[in-house]
Amino acid sequence: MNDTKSKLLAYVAFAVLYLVVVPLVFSGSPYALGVFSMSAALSVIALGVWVTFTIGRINLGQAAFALIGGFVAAICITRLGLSFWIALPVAGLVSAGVGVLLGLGILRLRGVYFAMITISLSEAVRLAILNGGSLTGGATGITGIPVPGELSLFGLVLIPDFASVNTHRAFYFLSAFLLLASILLVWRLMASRLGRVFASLQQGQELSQSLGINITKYRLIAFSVSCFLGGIGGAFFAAMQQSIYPGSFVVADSISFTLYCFLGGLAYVAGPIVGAFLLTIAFQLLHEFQQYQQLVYALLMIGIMMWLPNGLLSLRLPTFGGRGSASREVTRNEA
Amino acid sequence: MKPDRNSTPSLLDVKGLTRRFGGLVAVNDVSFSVKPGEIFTVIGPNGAGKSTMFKLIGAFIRPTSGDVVFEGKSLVGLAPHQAAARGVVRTFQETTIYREMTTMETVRTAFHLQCRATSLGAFFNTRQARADEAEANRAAEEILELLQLQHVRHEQAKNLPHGYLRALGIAMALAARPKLLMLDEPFAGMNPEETDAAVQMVRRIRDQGITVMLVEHDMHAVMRISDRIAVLNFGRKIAEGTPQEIQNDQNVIDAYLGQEDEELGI
Repeated sequence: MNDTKSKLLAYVAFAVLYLVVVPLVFSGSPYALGVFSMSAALSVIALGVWVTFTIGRINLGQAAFALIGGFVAAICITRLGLSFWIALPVAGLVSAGVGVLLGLGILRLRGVYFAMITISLSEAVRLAILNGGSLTGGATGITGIPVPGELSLFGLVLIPDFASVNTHRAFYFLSAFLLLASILLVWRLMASRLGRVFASLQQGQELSQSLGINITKYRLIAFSVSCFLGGIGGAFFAAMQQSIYPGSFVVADSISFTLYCFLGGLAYVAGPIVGAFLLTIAFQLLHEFQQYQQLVYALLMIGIMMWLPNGLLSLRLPTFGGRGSASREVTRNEA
Repeated sequence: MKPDRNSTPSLLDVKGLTRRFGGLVAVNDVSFSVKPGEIFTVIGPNGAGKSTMFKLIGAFIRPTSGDVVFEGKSLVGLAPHQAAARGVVRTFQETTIYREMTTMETVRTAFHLQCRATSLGAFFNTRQARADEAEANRAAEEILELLQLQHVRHEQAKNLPHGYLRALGIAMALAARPKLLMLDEPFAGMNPEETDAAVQMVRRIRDQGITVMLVEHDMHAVMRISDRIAVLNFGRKIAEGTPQEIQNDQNVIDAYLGQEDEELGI
């Protein structure tokens, strides 16, 4: 109970910081707000990857679901003329639906086989969209997506038209809301019985079956939540960039999402978020190194696995001996 | 104490069960019945098909032919979790555990079948979900007490010594509220005192109204604890009866010929 309370406190503190302090400090810099918005959206997508980790699967297919979400949203808005506020949940749900259909087959695989098939999934979806003809716009994708319009209920304006306000700040708050809602969703999921079931699938599938757990069902629940978050993140991206291409999310992005999880720490809901913010912001600050991004990510991934297998967030716990000091070294290098 | 074998309907009927793996016949036309409230043991030399038998009854694998009937209904074709939901729950050997979970978490996970809230209900923490959690906590405490695991309730399974792991395995199975509890070699590697304690434990479980089926090597314990025993050899059932009948059965003696008398318990 106490643990829950302190976590809730930390969540509220983060929400206040993120909704009040950050926008105040950076109100003069649309660029900074944009970086934060991007980090938040990437966090949402990476959070999905984190959920698949909880059932013991390395998901390298999240780019596929972000792409699906982005294109579904773009098609809904530009081709069907739907509001962004309808397109957003539709994008998440379509992604989740595709995830369930594919998951029925691929979730039987474990370990490196699941990782491999999800890598091919990232590529397959990109190619499918590239060859999607006029529906997806082929290589040129879908551009000129209008910014989200007004959301009103019974004449009451809940969210103003993004074009009529400071657009950067509007996207910032939208991404902040999506991030906070996703954290709450995943947190609630893990705190409930489902979280324990997911952990049991990771640690012993046969044992879980023998205890009456329908492993197919719970694997699908976890995977569909993961794909839902991927789709939502992708849809946000399409709206923020007002465009989406087959190359918007590729295999390398899938791998980055897993890296965010590893960097922050797989044991913590906040892990992928810490990872996504740190790396996204770091690369914005280190403009000139942009071309070495993949190289740095690769080295970072190897480094974390060797010296910091539980991620940055594990560092708040006291560590002793040689391994602990090595871990501290790694953080210092990063800061 | 012992139910009358002829009048009570059986809880489990294994009928002409056969399982082939390629050219190997792991279980060959085996039939037996387990009555409610019994402690029934399957013994046999290594490779006799005992483990396959366990998997067949728990619906982990499908028989090539034959049937497994539990409370009058066939279990063949069900998924393992469905068999568990019917009340057929097995334990594994002690390496099969949730390594990262504490004792308490493990038992609460194993309480899955008793949770009545739907997945969505659990997510939204409905009144039913909260009731489930409270009940899981209460039942888990009870089971930990029965198996004397209270003092390691917050210990991760990977840090527990072997003796505790076996108790943990039984705790998990009990949390699933089995009608038929299948124990996979519960006395393996135990010294005589530990075996004594474990035998008492299995009796206590039976006294709670749970029918117990064992696969076991430790003949001493088996002879003491079992109401009836079936002996497998090369996939075939070569004998079935009370411990006394088994000890005097010529087929059994032949099957174990060359093994220590001690191992047979005679």
